[in-house]
Amino acid sequence: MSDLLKKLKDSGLILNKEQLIATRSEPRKMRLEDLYQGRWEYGLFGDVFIMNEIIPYGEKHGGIPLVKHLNTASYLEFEKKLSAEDIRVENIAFIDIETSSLSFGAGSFVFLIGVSYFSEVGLESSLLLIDHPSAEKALLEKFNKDIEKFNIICTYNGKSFDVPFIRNRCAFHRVDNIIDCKNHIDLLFYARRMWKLRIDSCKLSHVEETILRLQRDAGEVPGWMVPQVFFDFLNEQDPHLLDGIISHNKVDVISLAVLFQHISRLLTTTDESGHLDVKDCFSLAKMHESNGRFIKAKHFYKIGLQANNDKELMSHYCFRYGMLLKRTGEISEAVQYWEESAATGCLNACIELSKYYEHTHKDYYQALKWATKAQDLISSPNDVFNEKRWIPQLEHRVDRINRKIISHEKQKI
Amino acid sequence: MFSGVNSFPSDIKDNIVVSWTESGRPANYEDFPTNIPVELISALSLVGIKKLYTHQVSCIKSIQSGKHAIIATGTSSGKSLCYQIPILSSILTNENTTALLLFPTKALSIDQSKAFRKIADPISHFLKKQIHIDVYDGDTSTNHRIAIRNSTEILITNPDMLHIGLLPHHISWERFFSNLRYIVIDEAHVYAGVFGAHFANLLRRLKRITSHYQSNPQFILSSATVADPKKFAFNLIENEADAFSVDYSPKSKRTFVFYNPPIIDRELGIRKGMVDESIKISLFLLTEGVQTIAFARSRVTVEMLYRKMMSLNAKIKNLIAPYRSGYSKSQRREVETGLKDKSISLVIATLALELGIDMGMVDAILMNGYPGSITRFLQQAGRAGRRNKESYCIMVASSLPIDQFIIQHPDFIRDKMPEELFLDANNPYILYNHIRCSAFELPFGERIDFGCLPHSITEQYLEVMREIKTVFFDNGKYYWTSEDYPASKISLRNITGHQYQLVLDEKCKQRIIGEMDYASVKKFIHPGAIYLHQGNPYFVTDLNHEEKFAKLSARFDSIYFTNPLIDVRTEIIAVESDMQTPNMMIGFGEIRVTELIKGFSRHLWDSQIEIGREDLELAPDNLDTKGGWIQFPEKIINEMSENNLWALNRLDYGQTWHAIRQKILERDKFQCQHCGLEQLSHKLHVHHKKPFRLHQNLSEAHAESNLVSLCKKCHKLAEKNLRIVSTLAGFSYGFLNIIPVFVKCSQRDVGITFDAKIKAENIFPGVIFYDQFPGGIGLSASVYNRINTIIEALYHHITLCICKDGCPSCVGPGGVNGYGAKAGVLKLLELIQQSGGNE
Repeated sequence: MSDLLKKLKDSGLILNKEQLIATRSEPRKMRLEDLYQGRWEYGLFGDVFIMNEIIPYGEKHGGIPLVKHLNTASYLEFEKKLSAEDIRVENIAFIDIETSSLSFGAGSFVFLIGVSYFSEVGLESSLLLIDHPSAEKALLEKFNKDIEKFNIICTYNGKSFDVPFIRNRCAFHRVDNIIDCKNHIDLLFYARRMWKLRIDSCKLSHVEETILRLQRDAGEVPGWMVPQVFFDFLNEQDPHLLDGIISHNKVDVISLAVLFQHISRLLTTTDESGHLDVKDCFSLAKMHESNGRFIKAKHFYKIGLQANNDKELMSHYCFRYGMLLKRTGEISEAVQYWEESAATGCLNACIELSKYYEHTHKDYYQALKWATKAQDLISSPNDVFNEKRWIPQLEHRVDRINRKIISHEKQKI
Repeated sequence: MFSGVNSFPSDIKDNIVVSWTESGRPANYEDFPTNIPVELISALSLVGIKKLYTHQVSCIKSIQSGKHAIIATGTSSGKSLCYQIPILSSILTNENTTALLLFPTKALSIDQSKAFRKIADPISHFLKKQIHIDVYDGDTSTNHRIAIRNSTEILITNPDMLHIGLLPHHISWERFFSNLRYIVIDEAHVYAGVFGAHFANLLRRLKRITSHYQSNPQFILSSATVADPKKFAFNLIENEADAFSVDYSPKSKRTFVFYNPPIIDRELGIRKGMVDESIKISLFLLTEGVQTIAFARSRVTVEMLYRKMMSLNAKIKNLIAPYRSGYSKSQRREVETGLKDKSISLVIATLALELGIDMGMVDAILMNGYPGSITRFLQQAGRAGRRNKESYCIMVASSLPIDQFIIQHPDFIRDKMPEELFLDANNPYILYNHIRCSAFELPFGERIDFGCLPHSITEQYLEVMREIKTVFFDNGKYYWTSEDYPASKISLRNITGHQYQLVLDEKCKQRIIGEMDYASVKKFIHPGAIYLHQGNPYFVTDLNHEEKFAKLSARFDSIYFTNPLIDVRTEIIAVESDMQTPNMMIGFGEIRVTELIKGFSRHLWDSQIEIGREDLELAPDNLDTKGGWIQFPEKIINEMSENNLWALNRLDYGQTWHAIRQKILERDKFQCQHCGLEQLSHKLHVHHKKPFRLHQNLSEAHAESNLVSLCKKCHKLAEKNLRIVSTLAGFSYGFLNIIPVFVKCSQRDVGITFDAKIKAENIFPGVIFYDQFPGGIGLSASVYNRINTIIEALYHHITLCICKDGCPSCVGPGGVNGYGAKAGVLKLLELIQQSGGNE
């Protein structure tokens, strides 16, 4: 051990448990191509190992089969910048990267980029891997070449991670930044809106498990462990160590494509068969509502409300449905739903009813009844939703209604 | 009407040790350098700048010719223009120019960005294009950060942000770094010691990055008055810089007054308290209508001054404003306005830096105690002086040795001889951490350039990192292969990890008020300690080693502070350099220090008198650092003994002595307990281990455990060692205390031990002084290089001291391990300075 190393260890700057490696370069035990199906592409800036696979249409990934020629037009409602021509499935590249660190900074580099896309025969995946950091520039150049022909890239959380990461690394290596010229669909956006109500976490691995019903391989490496495993590979030079990372990336990049199709189906469906989970119905209702697709939204509100199980959920969505009905001018129907919602303790519904009776129906006694009911609801012990903030407004409302009652009575006389 | 020293009443005037006046002088102007764009000159004239001082012109010309520069003229000499003008000129001639401005504090950053804007805005107006000046620090919002990255020209930030936010993310800042033309380092004098070492390494990292982007920025340093600015700049930026220290700005007449509180006990060397004397003077100035800023060394003193003055005269309540750090903007403004409209006559504050540039000038500065460095003294003094009006700078000395030294040697201030600023950028622990950060920022390749560090050394560190798998060697480069974000692991203010959090326990919440390294924690944050943090006292209620935090509770009313009682052993591990003079052996090298904290003592704030002690049980610690030593050869020691200055006076041992003596001889079987020689009773001596004079009473002095039989020869030896030890103790005390006058540091930064046996090449009595920082930070090295000057100054200082035997102001209170050391130390100093080839 060198003097310097000893000195640094003694000071506590280097912890004693750090294992040492003696020589600069170990002889390679095995080579990548001995273990994995793929080929090397040799270049000026380094060599890239490319692993290609095809999953034919009809085969399942988890519980979902791959389908050819799926209609993707429903995405257009959410991706305003795209046209129908753009969103054709053959124009989309699904991308997932593996990096030496999960945070940004000049010291983080990318070593594996997974790309998948739909072809004539099925879903093709192409994993681009380097086995030492100095080849990163070659990896980026190869990646640029491969995505050139696509005009949309699709990722999971790519807007916050994958794209900025690649942008940075391209800047560092003075490589063209192709990825920023493409359109970008980030499925995390959709996953949250679709499933946040039903599942705890929208992390890709969790979505794969619960929505795609994918069984993960025991040997697979979870995302947070990838950097450390890669460093182990670098130090031991044993390609076996990369197995978990490669399969992790492959599964992710395929799941992305499958998820894309699955969400597309959900956005298009009307759920004739009634297989959809109640919460998914409500999620869809909200999504369509936010896009102005009121007919579809109403359709899904109704289906969801028919299911009639979770009391609180029903109460809330009854109210929401009422709000939608109000928007589309169906006020008397709205009132029915609000009354149902208010009966199960929804504060907002009471307030809406009070508003309706005061301003539209001009039945001040009813208005007062609903306003005071709202006040009663607030004084209940558990103020989970910070309902106390409504107190001043309600007091104001009750006063006003009372004044109107008084003046109305006076007029009668 | 106050008109200077003669206006003081006699009870003040009598204690003025010295005063002198700097005559006013008008400014020296020169024409604007020729290649400054016309729009800039117009903009400058719009804000009232129609001419430049000579030093500004020279500095700007130097910068425009492509050189690095350091401007070290005094306060209010227009240093900012020296960088503002070249930067704006550059932006006007080349759109893509960017500049990085580094300020040590946030408040300064904000003040300076406003000042810069005043000049830049009219230019933006002319150009019809906005010149962006942006402050980038922890408070900058994410959106704003993105905007700044894309469009800023002038980026204002601080070292911490540079370290953790900019350098590790330089890729996102490519535009900025590629066009970087100037790097401005303001208040450069703060970058000394540990902070300086870190900063120098930050610059090394920065240079690696600018070299990667192929920009070659120029450094412009702006600093307070420092000794040898050229050398200081070179140490910091590792490049030659042109230095400008002659000040051509106008100066009004200024009188300096050094006041030493009167003596109340000559033998013990005790003077009246500084606080009361200072209040006397403040009140006088107040009644004379002299607007004053009073500086105190700690917040405790600020509070004390304020409260005492109020209790003396409640009517002046509205005229006095204490200035506490952590004031909000509106509170600051209140004080500023009060000074401007004369409603406030006296501001009491701690650091000058905190006052901000809008505080304006006052008529007089009153310093409560020497502010610790000549640079700071001059900075504080610079606060006084309105245009064309005479101003005053009065220092009231405390009994601290350094105060007494300065007051007896006003030439250090008068001739503006600031302490030397040292830093050692190659401290291995600091270096390791920054090389780590740099490896993260850019892979180190074959041309392993890290500042001026020799390649072989950088490679050593990289190899260590490779061995522990932090980096991976691939194709000629070292790549970062760790998930760590190295910048987050280091603090720029300390050396190694092991940071402890200092947690303030307030009534219902806790907050972290600071951090401290392990070594300091053991010394200053032991249970029961009163710890001074930024001048405020805190009582240590808990110290948790596992979770690495200490709990403190505020104690502003505390009447005492604590000092650790440390048993220190030092050992010379390696000799790096040595010098022989006929009279002493001096050396420098690696030192191992073993410290054991046995307990602590309590001292009253004002008088520093010890009021009690307590024991502690802690494990000893090792510190490997750099240090120097002085050994005294045989002939010196012999000459001192022979001089018989030390002959024991006849002391009255009391009537029981004879019987006691007999008893001891019998106990010891008439044998010398040291060499075993048997003798008849009238030939044997009975020796007091702890000298007789030090005991409170006879029975204690004559306790059997304190007495031992010795033959005449051994007895003489024992007395001789005692003498030597006490002289060495006094020498160490004095030496340690005047180091800060010559080398910029605080007392805590350097340690000193003395021993009758110091082993270097050979064994001799002497002292070892060392940096209190692992790996050393250049402090002792600096002392070693100036040792003869320091010894000479120490000699003069002790000669001039009014005490008889030794006092806290020179060699330490009388009776340390022996009798007062003053005479011994003086003789020693005399002997070692005698000529015969002084360096």
